[in-house]
Amino acid sequence: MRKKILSRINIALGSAIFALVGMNSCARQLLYGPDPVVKYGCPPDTTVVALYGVNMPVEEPPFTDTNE
Amino acid sequence: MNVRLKIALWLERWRRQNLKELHPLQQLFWESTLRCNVHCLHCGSDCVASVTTPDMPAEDFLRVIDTEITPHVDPHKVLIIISGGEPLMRKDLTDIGRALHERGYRWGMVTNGLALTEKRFRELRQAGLRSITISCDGLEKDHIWLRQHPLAFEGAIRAIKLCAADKNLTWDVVTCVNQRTINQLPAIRDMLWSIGVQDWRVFGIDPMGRAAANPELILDDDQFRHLMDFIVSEREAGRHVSYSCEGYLGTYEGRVRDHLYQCAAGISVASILIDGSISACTSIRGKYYQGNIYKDSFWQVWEEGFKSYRDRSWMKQSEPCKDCKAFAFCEGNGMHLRREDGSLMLCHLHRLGQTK
Repeated sequence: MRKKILSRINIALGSAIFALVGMNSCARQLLYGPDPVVKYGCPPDTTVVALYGVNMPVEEPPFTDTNE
Repeated sequence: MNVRLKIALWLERWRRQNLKELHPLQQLFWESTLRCNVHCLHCGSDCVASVTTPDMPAEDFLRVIDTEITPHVDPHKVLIIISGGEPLMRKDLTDIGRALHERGYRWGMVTNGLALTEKRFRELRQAGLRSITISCDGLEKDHIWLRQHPLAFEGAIRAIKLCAADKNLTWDVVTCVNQRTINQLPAIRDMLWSIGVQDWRVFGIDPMGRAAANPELILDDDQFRHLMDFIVSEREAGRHVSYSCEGYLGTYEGRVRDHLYQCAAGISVASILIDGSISACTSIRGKYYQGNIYKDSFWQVWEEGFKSYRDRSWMKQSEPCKDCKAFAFCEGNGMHLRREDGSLMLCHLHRLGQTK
């Protein structure tokens, strides 16, 4: 229960942070593109959720086999 | 510092404290090999042991995934980063990637591109490769100099073009800016954009590994500020250029990255190193390793270990953090910048002249 509450608080905090400083000229990439949250040695993460837990409409291809 | 940024930094601090308690495993590095096909002047891991250190068997890593991690996470929410050395040196990379994909994990890698042929790229994509970063450190001459391989530039450009042609891949280019390239940033940008790059991550080189012995690689304070200003101007022009995740950047926070500074090591990032050691980012010193998959339960270590990562008050006991007013936001800078004795090798705020 506590974890659920903390997660929800963090989503709210993430949204507030975005509102304060995140919405710059790169907002589109921020919401819909790669999210290079980690340092050299790591490829870009594929979701914004990984960083801020923000429940935003990240446009990702469905998690399916690329053989298709 | 303006009021909006200051409020955002306090909110970020609050969020970070919550995250420490939650410590959701979101990124797992696997140092799968120390072998490499180039000999970079700035190599952080200094892969001299590459010939003598065997690769970790894939089954050892997958055993940890199956028995220690999968029961506790939603695989779709964990990104596994196959690291090195150069991951493409492993002939079984495609099989490993497919095994992770079948288990529901997203996986990615960073590569110099030299061994990324079109056939290999296609195979990796079919094995579920979701995210890739190509290293390109400058125009041809400087890239070859840094990578110490005559075909390094050709390989990187080929890899970039392969990525650019794939519309469903998450990818970017990362560039180690050094004293040779700091004044060529617009030309490098033009070159990268001309072949389809839309996301470019730049960073300075830290004084560790081979780079510690080569001052030409490391930016001075003025050059570092120039790099920050360059990123700001690029972003204002609508180009997605970012500074790497390392380092608290004072008034540049919110202007050079898509997020405010946080060192996620041990909070949402873990690693399994070539010898089985359990750590966070792969460049963190050995003193901070938390266990070993051949002796310990990974998940128990993740849940109960990493105390020095999740409570960084120990960093405030010594200079330069002791009396620093930015500690609340910075928390001692990145874990990978801590030496074995706990001292800090680099303060970004100091470089920016913002410690007062």
